[in-house]
Amino acid sequence: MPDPLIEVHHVGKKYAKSLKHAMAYGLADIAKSAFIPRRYRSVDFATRLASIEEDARAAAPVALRKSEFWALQDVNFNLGAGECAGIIGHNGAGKSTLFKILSGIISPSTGSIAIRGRLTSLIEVGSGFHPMLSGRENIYISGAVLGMGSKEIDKKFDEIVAFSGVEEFIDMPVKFYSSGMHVRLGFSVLAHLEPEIMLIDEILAVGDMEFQKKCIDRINRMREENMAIALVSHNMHRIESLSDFVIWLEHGKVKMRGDTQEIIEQYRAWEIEKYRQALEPARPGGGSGEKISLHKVELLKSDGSPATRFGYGEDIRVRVKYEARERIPDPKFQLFFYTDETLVFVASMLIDGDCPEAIEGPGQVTCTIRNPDLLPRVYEVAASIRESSGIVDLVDWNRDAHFSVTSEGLDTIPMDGPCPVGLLMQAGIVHQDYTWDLDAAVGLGAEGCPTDE
Amino acid sequence: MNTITLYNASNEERLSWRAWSVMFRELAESRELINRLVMRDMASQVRQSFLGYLWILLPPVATTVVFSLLRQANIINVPMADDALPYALFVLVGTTIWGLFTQTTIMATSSIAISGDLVSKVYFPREILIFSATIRSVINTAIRIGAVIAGFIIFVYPVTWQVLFIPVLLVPIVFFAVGLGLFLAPINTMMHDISRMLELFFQFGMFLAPTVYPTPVLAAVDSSWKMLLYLVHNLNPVSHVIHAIQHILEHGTIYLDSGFWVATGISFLVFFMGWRFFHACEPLLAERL
Repeated sequence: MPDPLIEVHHVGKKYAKSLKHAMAYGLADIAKSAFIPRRYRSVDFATRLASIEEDARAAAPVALRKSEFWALQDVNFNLGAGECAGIIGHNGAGKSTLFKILSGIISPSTGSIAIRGRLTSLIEVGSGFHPMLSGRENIYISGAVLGMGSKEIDKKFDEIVAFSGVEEFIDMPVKFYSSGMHVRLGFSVLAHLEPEIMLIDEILAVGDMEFQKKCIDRINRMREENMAIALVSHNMHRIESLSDFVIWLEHGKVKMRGDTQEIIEQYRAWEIEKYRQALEPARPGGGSGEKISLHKVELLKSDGSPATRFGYGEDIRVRVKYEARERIPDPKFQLFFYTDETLVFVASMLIDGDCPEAIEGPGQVTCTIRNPDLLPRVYEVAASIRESSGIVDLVDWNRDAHFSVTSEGLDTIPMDGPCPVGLLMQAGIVHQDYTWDLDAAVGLGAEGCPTDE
Repeated sequence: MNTITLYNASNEERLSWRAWSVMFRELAESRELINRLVMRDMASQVRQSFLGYLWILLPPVATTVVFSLLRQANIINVPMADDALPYALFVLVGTTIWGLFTQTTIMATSSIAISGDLVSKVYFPREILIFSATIRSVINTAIRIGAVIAGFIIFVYPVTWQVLFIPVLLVPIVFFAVGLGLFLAPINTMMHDISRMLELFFQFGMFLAPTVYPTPVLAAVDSSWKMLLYLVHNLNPVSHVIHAIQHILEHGTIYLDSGFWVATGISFLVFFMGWRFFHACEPLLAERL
């Protein structure tokens, strides 16, 4: 088996929270690193790596000084040629720190990293550019900064310019370029480095559609030529479609690592759970009007047991408990289902016309949603009651209850495509049954879909 | 096989004797990048500027004019020996050399912090920024030497062929300045005070070297204040180089006293220690910018 292009052993990184401490520790570290010599290390790579590993195993845990925290702790993984590692996690989970260590900009506090081949990172786009100089001059400067010799650049120059699509303006100072042109030229230089490894922190968000497509095509082509990729993205669909495996970072630690689909599913479930917990304390209890009060909105499974988690397609019953202070004829009950700020659907007596003849005193109304098509997310339910004409609210509605849909039962959806989980999780709120009519698709039979190899 | 890059938490590699070969290899490999950066910064310095390279000439010329006028008007009294350079040329030579020292030190010290954007995005040996700043400062001085030559022509002051050695005599100053820069640049990434402090200090430091008045002669020292100036001048390595150069210009012979050799030795020592220090703390530079 060939050696992996990236080997990460027990890598950790600590930072100081306060600037004052950061400065003090920085000076202390400088003094320490300059004046405390250690023993000599073997020139031979394998021996060196072995001794580093040994050190990493044997090393006493590096202590945190006051106000320091671990931005990254004990991260291990290997990345082979042609592989793509998806790295997911919330903001501040350590993704950028990991990338900075991989590209050598900062050094780890613990552990070691071996990198075989030329590594480049998409954040380097346009590095070294000087606004006052022309595009032509900047290609040479940026190329040199990224590690290309001028002969190499001479050879690729026309290709770089053609790819960037800024031929017309190549002798104009970069200062007068639009931000899109700037990025295009920068990426073009980067792409022609022909790196063995590329770090991508969110696919280029600049440049027009056409150029983004060009970039992705270029990245895909380099991948076919066995380039390894480490990809950070919040877009689960991208992660799923590109990654061979996923590393999930949380508070600087690897929370989970492994199969792409499985981890994305778990990540989504975790996100939902976190969101649900965040909702908990903020929830106001019911609402009160002049004539009637809403006491509670309850969620029940079809067997009547209260629940907050439902599988995909599982019946959901919503029970509204109220107390009418006087006799109210023809009250109209309504339920609103939200996810984030989006109103997903309404169950309303104003639509269907059902309603009790009259209510007085305490009571309850239950609504059953049959086989809902809601995809895994957190949903909030708001209830309101209107008087018989449907114009005046008797009780203001509140988002009183919430429930989450889990991925359980998702397997009833046909998922034979290349990236079902990420897309289902990310793209929609509901899933509808659908079929394709392929009879008129020229050149392909109904079964003619090429399979992934 | 691809090149292998290793990053690890321990700094031992950078402290071993083998680090020297790494340092020289990295320097050799990055000649081209240094050239590019020098060209980039020289070109950008003069673009969008009407006077362009003239701005580089102006500081020493302005100092010379001001001090010559002050002395002419008898506001300051600077006694010059009979065989000394005309006062204007004395100031021009002194400030140009002092400028080489101060500019190199300041540019080298602030080079890393100024390029913070680049340093925090791409890895390359950070010394490159220091060395390219140094080369720029040396080029600036070369341009200023043009003004010095013009001064000698205007004053019709004869010189001998030994002046051709002057550039060689300037080498220790450059090494001394870069050495200081290599020590101070890492600290300056954390505390930007350093480069400001240097600028302020060097402005007054001009009086601590024979730039606008000659070093007092020991035999003629008649007060403790003059003694103090005499000591300070002699402790300043830059003074010894200025003395040697003034000697060539005034007497047409090369005379290198022990002070010059000590200053040269100190300069190279500071340079290599500084480089070593810089290399050792290179991994810490980006994270605290």
